[in-house]
Amino acid sequence: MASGAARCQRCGAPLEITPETIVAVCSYCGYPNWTSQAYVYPIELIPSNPSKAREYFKHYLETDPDMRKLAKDVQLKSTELIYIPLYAAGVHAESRYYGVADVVLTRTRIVKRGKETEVETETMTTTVEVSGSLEKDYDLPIIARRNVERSYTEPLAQYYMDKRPQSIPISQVNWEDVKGTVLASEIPSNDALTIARDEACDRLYKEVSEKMNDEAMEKAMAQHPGWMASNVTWREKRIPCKAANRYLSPILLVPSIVAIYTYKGGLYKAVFAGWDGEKVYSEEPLTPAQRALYLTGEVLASGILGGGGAALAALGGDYTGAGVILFLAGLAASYFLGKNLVKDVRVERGAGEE
Amino acid sequence: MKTIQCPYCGARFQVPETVTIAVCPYCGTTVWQATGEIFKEHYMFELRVEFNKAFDYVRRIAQRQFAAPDDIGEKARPEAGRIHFVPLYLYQVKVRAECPENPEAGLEEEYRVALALREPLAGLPRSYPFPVRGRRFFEPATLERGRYYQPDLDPKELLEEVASRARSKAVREALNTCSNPKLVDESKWLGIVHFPVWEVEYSYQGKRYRALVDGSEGTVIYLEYPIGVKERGILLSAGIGGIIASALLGAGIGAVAHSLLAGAAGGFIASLPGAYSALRLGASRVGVYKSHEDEG
Repeated sequence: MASGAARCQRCGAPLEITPETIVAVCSYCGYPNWTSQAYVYPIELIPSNPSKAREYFKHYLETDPDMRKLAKDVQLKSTELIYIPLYAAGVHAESRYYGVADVVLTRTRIVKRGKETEVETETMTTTVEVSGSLEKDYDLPIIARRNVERSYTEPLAQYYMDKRPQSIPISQVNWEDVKGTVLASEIPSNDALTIARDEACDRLYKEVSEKMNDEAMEKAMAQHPGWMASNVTWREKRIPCKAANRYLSPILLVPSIVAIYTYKGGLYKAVFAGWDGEKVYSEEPLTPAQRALYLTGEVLASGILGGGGAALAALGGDYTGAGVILFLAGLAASYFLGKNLVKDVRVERGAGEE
Repeated sequence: MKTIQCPYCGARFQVPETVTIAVCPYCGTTVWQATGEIFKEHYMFELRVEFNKAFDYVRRIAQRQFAAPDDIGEKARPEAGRIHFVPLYLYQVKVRAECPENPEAGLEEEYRVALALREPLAGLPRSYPFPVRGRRFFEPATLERGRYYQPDLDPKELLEEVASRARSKAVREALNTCSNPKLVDESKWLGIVHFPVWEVEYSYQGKRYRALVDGSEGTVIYLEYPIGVKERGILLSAGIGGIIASALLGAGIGAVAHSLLAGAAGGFIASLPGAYSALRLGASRVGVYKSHEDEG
């Protein structure tokens, strides 16, 4: 409904404006018309050269150890450059935590009874108090799109945060050169600040929880030398989080290159960072050799862990616990490997190690 | 049927009694019937994928399935294609659980979508994410090619469902700071998004199969495919062979610990969850591929 109303600010000619439009260049007089978003909040763009897309894909085929073997049957179907909007947000988060925990301790002793040696396991529970504080600075990518497909946008955003390539203000961008789809931001900066605080506290909470578990175990073991901590239950746990925004970047238009290729008729996708060609997401074909490997793994897991665990448990006594744990690990590993065996693709997310 | 007047262009048009949200067929304005309120946010995703392309994606995603016959790419034939414009509600979830010392002790903020149909197309997940590209203002004229669905779920009820999960999470977080946090829920319903879905029917050796393709991005959302004869053999023998090999290996290891039977039984039982996927697929008549699973 709003689409019919837009007109060029200089010559009055009708403009084609979609919700994605950041700047509409008038096709009659060439005047760049900025949509309101660009005035309210600064936007910067990371330049990308889409003509390098083939080169990036070729490099991936030649250097990825799995793809190298398949390369001769691979055909590149299409490449597309898409700019994803995101904010880089810095958040300072801190927590003064406190907790009271019951820690289960075990002690294993080898006892000689005449000629027989026996393993004896003792268990006890002790209560410890843990307190302290943790402060962290987080640099978080906030994708400025509502509920968009996250499979490749998330690893792309993370890779951007790791590298922080140079960006240029959008007023200096020559729009004739931007040969790609630009997605407009859908999340205002105020919401981005809140989302960043929420995310920072979620991360801090996880870190503090782990820290508290470790501290409770250490404290319990320090009080009872020779005993091993095996389990922690919290009677009381307080992890308040205070978060403050340190900075919020302009809206950053981060380029991604989506490559669609076929392998023996099947369709697959690989996504590269648009500024340096690093692969951030891929769906790769599974070869018969890889499937055979999954099957072998499944047999080994069920046979060794499952069978060995059951045999150990059958010995009874102190071996039962360890046997049951091994057996359950065998069940889980066998399920996971069996599921992979029949999958259609292997998905890799995130940039590789350099 | 009842008649309503568009608050934007003044046109009168008829809608079924059950419809809570009406779209003016003349100017595209979206009206919330109970209050006569106009929606600013009614978007759609453009149909960017033609039928031939949609079928090609279906054929090629079928080709990459392990259990599908090798020649499915060549021998699959397109039979029918229909475009559905499916409505999603978009929500902004914004919940705070406040403590005296920290008004943001519990904080949840996110955007969520939910399928706005009581009876969705079979195979379409309830929280299908928006396509990446092709967002447009809603224009009724572009819908002529497909079947348009009026949202028929109550947006406020769905909002309640979406927000209640965030509320309990915020409260749980805030309980880390104080014992009786005050809940502030500013979650709201932002609007509607229609997006095009191709329903593709294809045949392979005389039998028909169904698939759904995102009409904006080309993502194959749902796909039924035949299981090949050779592939069925491979799956069943991998499944059964895996079970036997695991039991034997377990027995061997058990024998070392003087409990051969327990070892064999352990290996056998542990191999069952692993063999399950292969055996289930091998025993099925039709395989199903899904690009997104609904959250449980």
